[in-house]
Amino acid sequence: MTKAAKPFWKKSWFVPTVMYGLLVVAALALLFLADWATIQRNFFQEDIARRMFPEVLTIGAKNTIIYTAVAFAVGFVLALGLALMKLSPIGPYRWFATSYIELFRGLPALVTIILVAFGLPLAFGWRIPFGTAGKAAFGLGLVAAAYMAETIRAGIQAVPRGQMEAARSLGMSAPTAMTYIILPQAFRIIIPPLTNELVLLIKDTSLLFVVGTTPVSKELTKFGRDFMNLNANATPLTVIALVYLAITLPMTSLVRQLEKKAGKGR
Amino acid sequence: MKHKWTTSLALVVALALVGAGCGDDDDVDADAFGLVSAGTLTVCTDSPYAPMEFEDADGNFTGFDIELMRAIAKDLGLETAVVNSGFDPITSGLAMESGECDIAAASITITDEREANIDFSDQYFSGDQSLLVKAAGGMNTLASFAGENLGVQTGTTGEIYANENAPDATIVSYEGPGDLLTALVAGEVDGVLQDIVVNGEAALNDDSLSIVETYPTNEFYGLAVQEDGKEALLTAVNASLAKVRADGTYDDIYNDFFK
Repeated sequence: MTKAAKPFWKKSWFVPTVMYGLLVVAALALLFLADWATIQRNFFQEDIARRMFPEVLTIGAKNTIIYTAVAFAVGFVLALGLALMKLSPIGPYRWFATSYIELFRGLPALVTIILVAFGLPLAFGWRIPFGTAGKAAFGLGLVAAAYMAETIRAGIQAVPRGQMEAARSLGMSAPTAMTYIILPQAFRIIIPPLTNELVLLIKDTSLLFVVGTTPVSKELTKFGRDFMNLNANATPLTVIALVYLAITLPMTSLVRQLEKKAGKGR
Repeated sequence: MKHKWTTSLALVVALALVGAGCGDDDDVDADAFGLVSAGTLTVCTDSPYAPMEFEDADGNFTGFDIELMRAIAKDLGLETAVVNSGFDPITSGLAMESGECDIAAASITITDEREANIDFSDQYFSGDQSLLVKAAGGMNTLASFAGENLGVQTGTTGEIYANENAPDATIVSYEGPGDLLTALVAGEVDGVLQDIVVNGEAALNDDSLSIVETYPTNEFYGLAVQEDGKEALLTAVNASLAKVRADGTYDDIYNDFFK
């Protein structure tokens, strides 16, 4: 009795062939189906791109970075407080932190920004100072705090319990042990997820257009969109996409270095 | 084994090339107007902009612009579909160029700058500007806005007018009239400079707001199509517009929304 020949789909060359085939088909489809002339005309017009400089950097990128920085700073401080409250032995603190986190994590950032920018003045007659940057700090900061609080809490809980016990047995008070023993270790753990938060925040600043913009307060996306509509061409989108990458890529690689350095101590 | 799957790789490439070569160009439209959806006049608008365009209680688009377009489409023997595309994509022409709609009816003031990106129909409405303030405030003229916040809608003739005539004011651009009114009531801006029809509607609905200045600009609204390729449609729309103005349909629609 002879051994039956293997069907072709069980042959060892079959799966790799299909895999490579799919790649090639996808690449060719992109190459042939895309209308390159139209793409070039709509997304890569050099003269329009040229006209965006230097304002795309001196206004757009600058504001995006400022809004991100203030929102991250406010968010981080709030988040640290919330994370400690959530781990507190005192019930009402925990309840407050939990409600805060659930509320602001559950609301779209856009809604929070509108509520902060328009709702606060309507309700209390109090306008947020420092223009758009103030609204970024409050509106986006409140949202970022909710996400970062959970990250920080997870980081604190990831530090082995023995660390706290050892610190306490050496005579440190609980707050001292938290500040000098637990938090430094927790932050090393949460650098990657915090970077994630920061990158998300950079992009969320594009939502700030709803609070109104003046020519000097536009962030990157609004700047690009206005330029796009002025010229009836999508090239500005390509430019701002590249500027966003020019901000995020060095930042994430910097954080990677930081992470490596922090990892050495472990 | 290696040569075997490189052979099949080549086979796949060859087949894919043949397949790609067979792609067909089916963007030839039988319709004389070159409509994006045959038998239907697809209209871009920027809603809400009451009373020109807004959603009624049932969620259907209505308003002066929309009903006028329905009358024109009916005259042309077409159905009407409304797409809420936002204002900037209309004035830049991107909404029509990308095939989202055939024509835009969005209280678009005819300006030379916009003519560069889009083609306008004959004018159908006055586009005068006005200044809306909180009645309690002391800001009664455009000159009094030096150093103060003046709200405008992004990309509108109100924004252009404010930039030209109130250069000392801090001009804050918002996305829509809803944002503008909220900002005015919240005190984020001290006045709103925009088309008189929309400010008039706001003043009518809220006693605490009033129009303190109007600016006859001698500008008018037009319907907009993309710059090239819709000439037949534009000619037909202009004929229909003249017809509905002559037979009283225009006045009926006007009375529905302004009386």
